[in-house]
Parts: sequence; C-alpha cells; structure tokens
Amino acid sequence: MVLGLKYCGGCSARFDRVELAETIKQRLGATVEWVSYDNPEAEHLLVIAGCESACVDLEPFQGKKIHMIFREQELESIIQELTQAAKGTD
Amino acid sequence: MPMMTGEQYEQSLRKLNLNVYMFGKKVENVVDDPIIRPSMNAVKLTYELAHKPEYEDLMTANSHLTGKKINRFTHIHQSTDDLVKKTKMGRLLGSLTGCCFQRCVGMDAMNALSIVTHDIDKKHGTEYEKRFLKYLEFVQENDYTCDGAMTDPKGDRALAPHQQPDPDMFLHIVEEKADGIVVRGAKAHQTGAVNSHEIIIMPTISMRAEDADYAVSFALPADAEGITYIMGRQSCDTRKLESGTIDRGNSLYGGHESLVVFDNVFVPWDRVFMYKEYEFAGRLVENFASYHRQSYACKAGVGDVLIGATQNIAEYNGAAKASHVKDKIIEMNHLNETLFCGSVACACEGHKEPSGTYLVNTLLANVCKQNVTRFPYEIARLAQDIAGGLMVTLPSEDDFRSPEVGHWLEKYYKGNESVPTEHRMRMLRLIENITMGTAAVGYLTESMHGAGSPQAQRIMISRQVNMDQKKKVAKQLCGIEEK
Repeated sequence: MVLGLKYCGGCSARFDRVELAETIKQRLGATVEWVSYDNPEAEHLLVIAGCESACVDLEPFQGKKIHMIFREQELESIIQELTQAAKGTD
Repeated sequence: MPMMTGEQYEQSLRKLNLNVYMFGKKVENVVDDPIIRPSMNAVKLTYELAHKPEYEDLMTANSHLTGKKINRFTHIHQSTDDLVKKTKMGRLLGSLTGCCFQRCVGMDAMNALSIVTHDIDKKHGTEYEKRFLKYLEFVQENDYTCDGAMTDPKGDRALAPHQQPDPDMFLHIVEEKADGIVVRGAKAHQTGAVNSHEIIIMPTISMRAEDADYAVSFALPADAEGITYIMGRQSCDTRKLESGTIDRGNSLYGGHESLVVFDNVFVPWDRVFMYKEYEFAGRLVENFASYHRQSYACKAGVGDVLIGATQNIAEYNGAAKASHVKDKIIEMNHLNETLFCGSVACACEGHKEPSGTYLVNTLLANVCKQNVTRFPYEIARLAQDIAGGLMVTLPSEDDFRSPEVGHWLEKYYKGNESVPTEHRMRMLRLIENITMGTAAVGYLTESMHGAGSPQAQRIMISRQVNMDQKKKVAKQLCGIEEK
C-alpha cells in the first residue's frame, strides 16, 4: 500500500505526532510504502491530528481513502485499520 | 524562492545595510549581536517550521495571487478557515518560543491594506490596489518579513497631528516629486524592526482634512536611505552579554523593539498605498488594529510556556500536590484558554470584504485584546506566587559555578531530591524572564499597550455592541410597551 502522511498544524497537540508516526511506521514495516501526502501515487492517506478538532482541510484529498488518528489511545485500532487496508481487506 | 529556509532568512538579513544604534553606538553586525540575536532566532523559526511536515498545515498557505505555496505570514486571508489558522499559528509559535516572534505585524498590515486600497480606489478611481498587489506578490515571492509600522510618537495627545508644535510627531509628507514623495517622522515601539526586510507604514489615528499630509501609507526596504533604528532597552537585557545561559531565562529566543526614524526619506510612487485620502486613515487603523488584536493569540502560546514552567517549578519545589497550587494552575489554564477563545471566535465570525479579503469580527477581536490586557498579568502573578521569592533573590550563574561558593548554592537551593539544583535555577530564571525580564516586554506591557491600549478596545466595544436591541428585548420581557 502506498500511504501518504499528513499532519495537522500542531497548535495544541495533545501528544507527539511525529513520535506517533514513527511508531506506526515501525509497526507496519514493509507492508507500507510511505510517501508525501501530495504524492499522486498514494491511494491512502494517514492523517495525524493533535487533538479532537482535527482541523486539517481534507478537501484536497478527495478520492483518497482517509485514515485518521487524533488520540494516542487509538494506536492499536489505526494499526489494525491500516494493516487491513494494506492487505486489501478494508 | 517562494519559501526561504531559516538559514536563507538569516543570510538574507546579512545583506541588509541597516542603520541601527544601541547603547549609543552603531551596531555593525546586527544579526550576530548577542542582544539582538535571540529575536532573530524567533523570526527564523517562522521560516523553519514552514518546511516541517508536522507544522506546514498552519505555517503555509496557497497564494491567491500566484497559487504558489507561501509562508502564511505573507498570505491574504481568503476564508474564515485562513483566519482560524492564523490564530492557531500564533499560539503555536508563542508556545514554542516563549516570546514575541515579531512577524505577525507585517501580515496584519498587508491584510488591512488589501482591504483599504480597494476601498480608496473605488471612491477616488486611484490605483492603490494594483500597486499593493504588485508589492504583495514581491513580498510573497521573496518570502520577506515586513515590519508593520503604525504607532507615531504622537507628542501632545490633546492635539491633532497638524496642531502639534513639532510637525514631526506624526509621520508626514514633506515634499511631492514627479517620481515619488519625501516623508519625515518616526514610528515608535517597532517590534522586530531590525529583523525585517521591509517596513510598511500606516497612519496611527483617524484624520480630518487638516491632517491630510499625515494620511500616508507606503512600503520601503528596511535599509532605505534616511531610516535609522534606535533599539529599545528591555529589563535585564545585558544578561545576554554575560557568560553562561542560566540567567538569561530563555536561552534561545527573545524579542526586540525600536524607534524608527525617517529623516526626509524618499518613497517612489509605486510604493505609496495612501496619499492624503484622510477619510480612509481611520478605516486602515481599525482594520489593522482588529487583525492585530486577533494576533494576540500568541500570548496564549507564551502562557503555555509559563504554565509549563510553573508546573515544573511546583514539582521541583515539592509543592505540586498542595491543593491551592493545583487550583492556581487550573486558574492559569482557565485564563489562558479564555485568551485563545477570543481569538478563535473573532476568526470564526469573520467576513468577506469587497476586496475579497476576510476580516475578523471586529467586536470579538476587541474583546479578545481587552482580555489580553488583563489576563497575562494575573497568570504572571500566579506564576510568581507558586515560584516563590527565590525567583528574585537567586544569585548569579557565576556564583553557582564559583569554586568558593558554588557548593553552598548547590546545597541550600536544592528542592526535590530527584531534581538537580541547576534545573531549579533554570526554571526560576525562565519564569523571571517571562514575568519581569526581557520577555515581560512582550508578555505583559505589550499585552497592555500593543495593538492599542485598553481604552481603545473599550471604545470599539461600546461602538459595536447592539445596545438598542438589548434594551428593546429587556423592555419586551418585563412588559414595557413602547409607544
């Protein structure tokens, strides 16, 4: 799966978004090819928002499958979601 | 070069030939001067974060002129979402620097001018908007930092500009030429002036026909001939000249202010955005002030740093579990988030002006800034309450490093056993820095007077609330019938 990564702007982030991204990358391993969010090859997009308001503008990403996380506690569920997406079973 | 890196920004400043004075001497190397350098670092961060994926959503925007990705500080707001992102960007930068990062004022000046140049043209058939948009594109393409300069020295406050015994108390036109104008006067309290590539001048008050020579707006390179910068002092500023970093409080960042003198400075016509259209001076002032009052979301960011420092020192002191300490920190957070609320609210309630630029809700922007004139003082008071008196009686870093007496400081200024004494000293110095040192200029007195003193906001609030509607409903509800 080719996966783009997009962060919110981080004005009041409740957790370290970059650290969380690194954890997700490590957990998913080689099942995912990580690219920039604006890479047209990416059919999927992981959005990491620092709080529940999740104010990232998603309009430019219409047509892509969006996976969003805005709480650290949702790490396992997003890993599961992305793993299924990588297997093509989502 | 639509977006400079931090390093490119620093190098671009080295090419400027600014005429800067401090402590009675000309500053030959502005960028590396130890007193000025921390303020440059703060502006530099606005460039660095724009290149980081985890911040670019706030720090960048797409130019409505070219479609290119630009630093948000050079952007003209195209939606309420843009206004909200501006608020969030201010908080973010305040929360990372713990000081004034200086770049908002130029953004606010450009947004205000984008509205008013359009309005002047509509009435007078002039071409200010075209000139301004050309200038804006130049700023965006070069990713320049602009100083937005409004505040004149003002002389006798009871007198209008044209009535002043010294006509230079408000910056004014002294000569009109075929290729431009000559101006004289000064702008005071200019935050970030010597870290700027450009300076944008605006009038400071509403004006009448007699003041037409003072109704002038223009932009110049910061090193234009005839411009002199005289640096303002900040409390504890010379600590930056000392060895060590503890006593500075904030070892990385800071702000600066200066008096900017215009001694018969030439301005070419293509840089003039208002020329004697006195009836628009007040509009420009109000729009700029409203944007700039929104910008004080940055103080919530600085408040984040102060609250973090206060929680840390409470833990270092061993007092963090005391119920009154917990409650005071809750109060600090309550006040700080209330500041943020005002800025977010005026952004969400913004509207589109005829020029296409989005302007904040001016009533709520004034309410926001009115809170800013008060709450940081209370937050600072609570921080000092929790920090304890050691914050102001602590000996110097040199004493701490002294082989003769350093061990006494290590021993007697120990708090929580698990925390090194030096950490306790550093945290106390940071709180001192924000509440009474160099950063207190930005966090406290600038909160009071920057973007207009408290009474200016109260006048705007009184003008903008719908009092008739409030009275009408009150009468209806208690059964009073109007005849």
